[in-house]
Amino acid sequence: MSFFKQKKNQSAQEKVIREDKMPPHQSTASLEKNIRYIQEELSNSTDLKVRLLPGNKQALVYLDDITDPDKMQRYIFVPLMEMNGDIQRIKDREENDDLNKAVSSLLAGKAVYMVEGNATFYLFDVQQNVTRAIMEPMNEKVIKGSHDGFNEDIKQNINLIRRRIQHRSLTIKKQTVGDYTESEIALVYVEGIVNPGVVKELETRVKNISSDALLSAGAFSEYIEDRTYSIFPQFLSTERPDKTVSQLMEGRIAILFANNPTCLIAPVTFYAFYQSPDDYNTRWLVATYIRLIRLFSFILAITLPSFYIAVVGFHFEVIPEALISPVLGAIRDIAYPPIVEAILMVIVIELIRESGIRLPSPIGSTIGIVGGLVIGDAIVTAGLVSNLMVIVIALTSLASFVVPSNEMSDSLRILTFPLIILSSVLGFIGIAFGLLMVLIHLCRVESLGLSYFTPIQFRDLKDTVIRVPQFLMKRRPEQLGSPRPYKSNELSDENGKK
Amino acid sequence: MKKLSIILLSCTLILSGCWDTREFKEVKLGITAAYDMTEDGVYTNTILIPNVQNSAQGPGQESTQFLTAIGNTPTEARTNIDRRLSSTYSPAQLDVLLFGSNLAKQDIYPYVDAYYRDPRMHLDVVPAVVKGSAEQALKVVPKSEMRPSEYIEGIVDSEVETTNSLETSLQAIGSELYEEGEDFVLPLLQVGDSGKTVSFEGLALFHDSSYTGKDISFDHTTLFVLMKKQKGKVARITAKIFDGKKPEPDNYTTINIEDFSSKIKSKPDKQNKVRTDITLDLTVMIQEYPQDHLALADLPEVKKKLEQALTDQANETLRTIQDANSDVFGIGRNINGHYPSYWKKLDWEKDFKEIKIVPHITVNIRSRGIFR
Repeated sequence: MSFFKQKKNQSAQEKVIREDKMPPHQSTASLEKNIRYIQEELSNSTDLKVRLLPGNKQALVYLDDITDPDKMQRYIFVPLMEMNGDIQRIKDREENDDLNKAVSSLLAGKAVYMVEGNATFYLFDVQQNVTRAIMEPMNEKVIKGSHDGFNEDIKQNINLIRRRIQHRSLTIKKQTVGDYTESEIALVYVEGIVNPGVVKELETRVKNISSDALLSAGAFSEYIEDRTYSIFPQFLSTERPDKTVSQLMEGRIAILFANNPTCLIAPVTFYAFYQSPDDYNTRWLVATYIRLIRLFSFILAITLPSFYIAVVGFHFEVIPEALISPVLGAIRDIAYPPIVEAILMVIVIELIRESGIRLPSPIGSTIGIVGGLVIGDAIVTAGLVSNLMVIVIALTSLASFVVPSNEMSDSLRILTFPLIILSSVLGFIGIAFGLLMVLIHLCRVESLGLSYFTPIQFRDLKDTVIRVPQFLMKRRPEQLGSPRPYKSNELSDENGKK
Repeated sequence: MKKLSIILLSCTLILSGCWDTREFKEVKLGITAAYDMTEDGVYTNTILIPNVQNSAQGPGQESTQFLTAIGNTPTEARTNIDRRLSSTYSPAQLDVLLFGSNLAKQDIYPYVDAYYRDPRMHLDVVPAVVKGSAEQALKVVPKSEMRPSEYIEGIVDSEVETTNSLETSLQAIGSELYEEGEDFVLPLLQVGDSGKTVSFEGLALFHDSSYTGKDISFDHTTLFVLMKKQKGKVARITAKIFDGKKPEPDNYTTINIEDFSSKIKSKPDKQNKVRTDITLDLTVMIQEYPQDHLALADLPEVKKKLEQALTDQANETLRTIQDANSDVFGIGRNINGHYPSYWKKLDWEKDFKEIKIVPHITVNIRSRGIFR
């Protein structure tokens, strides 16, 4: 297996220093020297503008594309005029004499004001904010309930959460990840409800990420999750502030990302992926019914095709008498064995889905009709796939789309394949083997130290498999180890314990 | 090395699995099978195989295929059938097993033995006896039926629903085939209308594993089934309760049994060796009373006459059973269980004919119908 090993004598790569850890570089009294240093550090980028003020004794340096000219006018030039050109009298400013600090401030969208003969320079925050309007997330629509969603601006996202939890114990810890990108992430939790051990663990894991760039929430979760090779997602991702807040109040931690509307929530159990904010807005009986359907769809999504293949390939004795003629009629003239049929049909559905996602919505729906109706009908008439298999695979993919979480739905569709193969070579025994493996794996996966398939006690059933009315849900989920196990003051004594 | 062995192990597991595939579409399923005995003492096996043509609007018209083969054992006959089929023959979905009366009179066990041994066989196959040739009954395919393969099964099932036949299957008669002290009945069919239909003729009485040649006739079956503590969805009995009235239908009434309870008690008896009391309480509704008016005051008389008529009918049935030496009520088994030492002294083969079985039938008329 030597080709898997890395080459040993690779040339050592130069270490990059993060902007906030740059050693200080003292500025000089010479304006020209200072400007030259900054220009060199920024590799003479063309968007670096140096604006010399009349008399060439003072200069304003900034990065053209990320600063707002309006703000510059308002915060620098107007006050400067009022103070008769004396920069030191403007109140809203920062002072510094470290040129490396000046460079990193420039990158953050600040403007640097320098004066000839003075080693101190002044920083003004004139960053241009580019944000998208708050919209309902496309992939997590609800019928009732709030319709706002996170967007790419982390400040706005925190704003949405803070507005929902107006309490001093809502804690926000910002960190940056990525030596080049310096992406900002924020850990959000409610002190006093969250298990402090879990917060500590998450902070250590985040600190240990070593990478040039942090590009997405998905990549981030791969750095810190417990089992990267698992097929199941270990972080619940959402773009909905209401969902985030309800998870925060249960004692979980939310991770927000700059320039990314996705919010990751941990630690979660398997059942969290089957809860939707809709559940808490409808009558509890309706919500329970829908939850049960979702959980049933989990079983359906992974076992239905394999069950069908096992029945027609191995155990036709179990077909009920009344179904013999319909089944026989449907599969008699099909050219291929059931496994080929199944894989063909699964691939067709995946193709339709994948092509539908990328295309603009008017064409996307056309693809759905062409794919679903025309191919579905023609493939049966042509005798490539039996109409029963079309029903089975269509039901399976419908069942996988029922899951409120997108990642879980993808995992389920992948999971169908090994079971199809096992059932086509070993029949029901193969399905039993496969499901056993899945179950063993689910029991071993952990999400931030919390066992993924934490056995549900009778008490926890209230908000997992079913949903009971709010007044019956007095406790937070016990497996989270929250220091405040009850959801209301009336139930606990002063220490929050009973 | 470790990885290689894991790959090899999983390959052996998966690839050996492929070998066991039995694809549904490559199998011909027999729905009904018939066993007959020829004059030379060789038996023939006839099966009915449905073939469905697929059409755009779901499964289309069913066509049927009959195959007959001769063999020394049932499995040999099956192998001979297989030789003439394009794909493998499987009896796993068999619904009905028909025995010609000649064959049934000898012994049916050799023909059902294979069904008990193979785990892939359905044990809810309904065995039935055909007066005359079973093959002939199997080949009756009425044109009006949507699924000709289900014709005979439908006949037997519907008789169970109207309390004319006991619910039976290979599973149900399994222990009674050989055990002493309990026998069984099977539905009796006959080809009628010069070969166009098959009709239910009553219940064939068995002793051990062979047909006794005696039957419970169709008009006595409902009462018999009720005494056996079974009731389908509907149970109707027509009884003659008057004599000499004109027109003729006025002599009869039809009752609909709404509720019933049945008890069978057996105990040793000095005079008759064993005495069995069958208590049957019926709660009925008068379904048909052609004399027109049924006054409340007439009810006690009707009740008395009904009880008399039903008791006569029961006595007749019991006499047939004892003549046939077919202990369908399991009286022997009951005595064996409760009085084991006494049972050892009995010779049930002979004594069953001698024992006394007394029916006690009471009728409670709950309703006279909405029209009086």
